[in-house]
Parts: sequence; C-alpha cells; structure tokens
Amino acid sequence: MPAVLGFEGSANKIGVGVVRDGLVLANPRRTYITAPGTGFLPGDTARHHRAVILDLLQEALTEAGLTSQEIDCIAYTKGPGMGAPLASVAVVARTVAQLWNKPLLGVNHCIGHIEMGRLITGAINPTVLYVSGGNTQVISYSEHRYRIFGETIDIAVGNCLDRFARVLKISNDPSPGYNIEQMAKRGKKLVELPYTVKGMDVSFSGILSFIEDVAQRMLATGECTPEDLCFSLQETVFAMLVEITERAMAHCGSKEALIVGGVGCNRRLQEMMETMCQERGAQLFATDERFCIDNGAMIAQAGWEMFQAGHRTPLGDSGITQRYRTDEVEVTWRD
Amino acid sequence: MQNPGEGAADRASGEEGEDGQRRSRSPDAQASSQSSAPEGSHGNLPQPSGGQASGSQAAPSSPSPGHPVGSGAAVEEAAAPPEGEQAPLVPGPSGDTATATRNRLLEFSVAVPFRSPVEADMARRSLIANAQRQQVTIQPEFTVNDSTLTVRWTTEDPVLFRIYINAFLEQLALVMRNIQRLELVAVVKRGRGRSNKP
Repeated sequence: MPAVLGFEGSANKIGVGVVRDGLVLANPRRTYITAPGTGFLPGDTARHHRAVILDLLQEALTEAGLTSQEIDCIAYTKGPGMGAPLASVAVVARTVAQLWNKPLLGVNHCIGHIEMGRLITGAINPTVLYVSGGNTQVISYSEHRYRIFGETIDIAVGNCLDRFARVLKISNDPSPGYNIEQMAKRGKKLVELPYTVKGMDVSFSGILSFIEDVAQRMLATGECTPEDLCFSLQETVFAMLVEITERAMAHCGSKEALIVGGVGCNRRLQEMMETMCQERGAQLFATDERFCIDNGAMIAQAGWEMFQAGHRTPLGDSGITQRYRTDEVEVTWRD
Repeated sequence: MQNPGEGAADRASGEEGEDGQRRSRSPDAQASSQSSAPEGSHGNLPQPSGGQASGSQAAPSSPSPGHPVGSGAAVEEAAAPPEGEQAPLVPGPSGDTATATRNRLLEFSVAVPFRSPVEADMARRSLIANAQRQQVTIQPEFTVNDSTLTVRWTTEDPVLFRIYINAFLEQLALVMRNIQRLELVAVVKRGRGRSNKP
C-alpha cells in the first residue's frame, strides 16, 4: 500500500497532499492572493510559496498521520506552469527525496487534474474538459496518451475571467472567478460578445479585448451593470466550451464528460455541460473545490499511478518544464 | 468556484506564515562573495582571463545573522567606453589592471559551507537541476569540496546575472531551511551501500 506525497505549486496555489491506495489522507493548501485589480507575478508568487511550503509539508504529514518513513515516493509538479514557483517547489521536492531517501517523480500538472478527477468521480473513460487559469483543453484518452482534441489558441478561459475581474477591480479573494460567478447570478441582461470557436479550438483573447474596451463605456452610460457583464461573459465563454466538448464527445462516441481544473468549480458551467450531456444521453462528472482547484493531492494521486507503473525521475532529469504538453506523457498505467 | 465558507485548509497568504519575508533560519551557513570572505568561509577571487576584460567582481560583503545568505553580494560593472576611445583600465583585486572591452565576461562565485559533505552534495543536487535550464544564457558551475558547495557563474549579460544569482540565493536559502527542518534519513543509510533512490 504505497503512500505518495505530492507537491503542487505551478501557479498561485501551493499544496502538499498525501494519497495512499486511492485515499486522500491530507491535502492542505495556501493561495497567494493579490490586491483587486492586480494579478500575481512569478517572483512574488515563488516568494510566497517558499515562505509556506515547509509548514505545509509538516501539516500534510500531521494530517495524514504518517512519518517520513511511511512515505514511499515524492511527487512534484514538473510542469506546465510559471517558472519561478515551479522551480521553488521542485527544489523542495528534490531535497525531501534525498533527505528521506525516497524515489522522485515529476508529474504533469494537467494529468494530475485528470487522475484526481477520475479517482474522485469514478468516471471510466470520459471526455475531459480541463479548464483553469492557465489551461483550456478538451482531452480524451487513446492508446496510452491523453490526446488533446481541442484547446485554446491563445489564453485560457480562467485567464480571460481573471483579467476581466481586474478591469472591474473585483476582489481576488477567494478567487476572481468565484466572485465573477456570484456577480453573474445577479445579472439580468445578456450583452452580445464575440463568440469564437474555430473547429475544435477556442479563442478568448478577442472576447477579452472587446469586453475590456466596452466595459467602462457601457457602465458609465448605464447600459448595463457589472453583474450583467459578468453574466454575459460567463454565458458566452462557457457556451464555447460546451460546443467544443460536445464536438469531441461526438467524435469519440463518448458517454461520459469530466470537468477538471479551477474553472470546473463554476456551477453555471456544470449546469450548461449537464444540459448538453443529457441531450446526448451522456453522464457528467465534476469534483468540488477541494480537488478542482490546484492541490497537492492530485499530484500525489498521479504520482501514485506512475509509481505503481514503475516510473521514476532521476535527480538529473528533475528540472521543471514551463511548457509541458498533456500528450507528452506516456500513460502506462492505463490499458 | 470556491465557497469562502468551505475549504478550511485553504487560507490566503498574509494571514499566516512568513508571507514572503526573507529570513535565514540557518545561522551556520554563510555565503561568501568575492574578495571579502568572512572568517570560516571560502571565496574565490576573480582573475582576469588572458586577453579578456576583467569583467566585474563582487563587492565586499559580510553575511550577518538574520539575513539570507549572499544577500550582500553585488556585481560591479565597468562602463563601456565610447567608440573609438580606449577603455579605462580597471584595477583587479591584487592591483593588476585589465582592459574592459565590449564583450566582457562577468564572473561571480559563492562558496557555502555546510555541516557535512553529504549536506553539501545534497544541496548541489537539489539546485543544479534548476540551473541547467539557464545554461543557454548563463553558465553555472557547481562543485563540492568537503563540506563546501561552490557555485560559479559566467555570462556577458549583467541583467541576467543579477536575476539568476538572486533566484539561486533564494532557492539556496530554502534548501538550507529544508535540510535543517527535516530528519536526515539518507545520512544513516548512505553508508550501507546502494539504496533505492534518486
């Protein structure tokens, strides 16, 4: 019954998780939150992670009720993500692996989300919609790879939402996306925004530019409220995501859809995806904010699968990779 | 989206922890920059390469308790001479002079003493993987002699120089804190031959 310790810190969340045989034993997390109207910079984020990671590690071990000897493997996020935060977390993972004399495993962040989603929901072979601040992909498993069927050709959907939140100076606490969601619930008017789907792919930079441009004017003239803009943005971008997910499901003949990633916590997105799935006779799976949002346990879970399949990352190959594609990993732990 | 009422384990920064404040918890560790090695540390004074500019040397600094290692290290640059004029002569550490040319090579090294050769090598292996990404623009060299880890960088770009050295020193401080806080299982087992590790 191997137990794996996982470190995640590719963006503004830093988490340390412990997983053993499909059971999440610990999953503490901290979020680096900046002032309204601002985003998080790599250097500042890395500084935050360095300040809290050792405390988090201790917290994880205490919560799991394990000692270092009972940990069988150290997993960490190899990429993709922001360079400085990734590097800071990887340094700790390497040091811990040496101190405790445990094998090291570099994990793809996207695959961490997928494997945690599969574990928590029990989905067997879903079409995955992976949506977060840094990534937007539609993924399906085939022949030992998580294949990317469609993706954003520019910015991630979460990045679009977060940057729009800055325009309206919406608070980043607990997250800008959550606050946009709450405001959207009070929106009454649908403002027409650019809808950009290109085959299997989506584009969000245009809609962001447009809404950044018109927001202040429309608000100043009273044409709409900030809540209307939040509502309109969500409806538009989520409809785009539903379209490309449905297209992938049709291509694969899939009867399961799984939403992972921080934006996957959004109830409106889940509602729209559920409607689409029902119309297709498919089943929708989603997790709650413990596992949707970046966390250490997802890295530990993916690491657990990789460890059982015999993967190891030598120290010499344990560098981080800011651009680490989901389909670069050979998924040997699945048939 | 996250419900503020849930997820008690997820707390915003600033309410706990050090919130990014840089404090050293390793009073044993010292980093010495060029030319002013404090007692007990080892420093390498930069030497002008034959036919090349002396580049720059680290300003004198003495790490003090409570400050991150190497925080006092700095790199000085010689001003680039206007075209057509002879470059000013820059005195080296031993009084030698060298000519600053346009393509000057900057060097900086830091020597960090650890409690044991095992810890020094552990730090090297933890840090070198990150440094390998940088080799296109800046060349770090890691060596371990007894209990001292020495890192030497060379580059022509002073801005990159500052960025990478600052990043390295921050990661070094983290490694040292990490080593101090965690149980050193590896030291006991290492003497017993091959283990199942990295």
